Amino acid sequence: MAKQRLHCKEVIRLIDSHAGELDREVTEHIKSCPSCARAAEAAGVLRNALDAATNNDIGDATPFDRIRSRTEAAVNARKENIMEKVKNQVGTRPRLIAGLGLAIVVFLFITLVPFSYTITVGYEVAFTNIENFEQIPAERVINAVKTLGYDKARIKVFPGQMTIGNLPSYLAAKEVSAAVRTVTGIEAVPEIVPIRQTVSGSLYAQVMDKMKIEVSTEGKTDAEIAEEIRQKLIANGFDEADVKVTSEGDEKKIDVSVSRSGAEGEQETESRIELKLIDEGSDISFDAPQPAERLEIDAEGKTNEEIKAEIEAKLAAEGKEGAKVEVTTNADGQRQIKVEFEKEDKK
Amino acid sequence: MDKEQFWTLLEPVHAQAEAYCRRLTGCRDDGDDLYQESLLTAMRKFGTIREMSSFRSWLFRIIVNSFKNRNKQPWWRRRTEMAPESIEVESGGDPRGQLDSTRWLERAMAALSAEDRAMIVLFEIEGYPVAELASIFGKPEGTIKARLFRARNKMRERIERYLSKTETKNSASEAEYGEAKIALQRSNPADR
Repeated sequence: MAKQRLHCKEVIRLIDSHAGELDREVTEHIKSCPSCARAAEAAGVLRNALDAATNNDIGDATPFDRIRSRTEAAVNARKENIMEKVKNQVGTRPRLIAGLGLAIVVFLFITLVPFSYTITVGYEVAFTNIENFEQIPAERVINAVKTLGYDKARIKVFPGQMTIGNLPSYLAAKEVSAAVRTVTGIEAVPEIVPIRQTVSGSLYAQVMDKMKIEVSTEGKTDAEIAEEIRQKLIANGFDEADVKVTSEGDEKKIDVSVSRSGAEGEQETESRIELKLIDEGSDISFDAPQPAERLEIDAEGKTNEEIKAEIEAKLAAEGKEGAKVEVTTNADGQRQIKVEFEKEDKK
Repeated sequence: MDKEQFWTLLEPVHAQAEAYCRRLTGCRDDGDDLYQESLLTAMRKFGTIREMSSFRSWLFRIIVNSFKNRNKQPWWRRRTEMAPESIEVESGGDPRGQLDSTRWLERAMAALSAEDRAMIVLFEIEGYPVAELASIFGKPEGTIKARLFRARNKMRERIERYLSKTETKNSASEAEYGEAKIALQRSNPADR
């Protein structure tokens, strides 16, 4: 039976493959097998239909010139119809057109219509009620600020007051504050005031101006991530930042509590903070100053006083306050530098 | 686009292309519409043709695509193939006598997709070689041969279904006629 079915399949394959005359064995099989006989009959009907179609009269070909002129006329008609099609679309789809119009209006509103808002453009360190104002070595203050790399800082001195402005970040203001207190011996804690500027810009520009903090989480513990965020918040002008990072499964939860002193000592809260954790890719560079192992000073062409001021400023910038620096020149013409700390013994 | 060059290249293949369109649609008017539509597309895309020597294959490919697009139905208008039991066959007599070859071909072609139909018409009716079909459809010759075999198989099966349905109907009609004759004989008092 199985042999018979296999044989039927083979016969039908031969019928379908259109191999011309079927051999005697196949013809014998078709005579004895009703299903193969029906298949052969159907194949015959199909063959006849295809042959008839080949010989079917399909009419004379259209003259080439007529086809050409008709096609070219259709091309021109189609060109004219494009504007009508647009008009029809507008007429038949009023909601779609209204939606598109609204979207365009919203887009233009977001990108073009200006609003006024304030941004922090820099920081200013303000010393007030300075005692012995006349004795402040202005030269050393300028040197200290320049040594820290803030060449664009503006120093203004009034009776009993001194302001150092045009500092790029809160961290820079803190550095300058510490350095100036060291070189001048001013004990009063200065105020660090953010310089706000009212600007005009679109909603899009406002969103782009907001503070952005990006932290890479790759290979870091929660504590390390929290510390990095805290550092970056301080660098962005916050006095205090309390950051807690906790892991819940694959997700990380971040609690941030920040505060910043206002111009007159009042608490001012920064409301626009965007925290972004990056799982992969490069770490975001953070330009916080790192404690230096060595102090390098270019002494060429400088007086001992200038060298002293530079060392003091650099030490102050590293947070090593209360250092006593002595620069002397011996008989051989060599300079001797002695640095003493009041709290720590480091040379 | 060089318009003149297009018409120069079209002239020698115009009659073949128009005949193919008529055979493909099975109707002179529909064929002429398809040809016109294909020529408009061809004129628009003439700048994209790579080799002028393969203009005929390129034009036929456009015709096949236009034909496929015509037969595309949105999903809500798509029809499913009827079950063999529901195929209506005209009862009585030999269908081969009633249905002419054109109708048989129409019914067989209905079993095929638009592309397979275009392939069968080119190969079986227009007599194009497999190599040219491979060039028109952009497929290897082996694939073309296999698809032609499968298409013929489908067409033959569709005809076979009609044939078997007709035979069943004819034999049922004969049986009904026999039974009715017997009943008539029984009801006839003269026979009692």
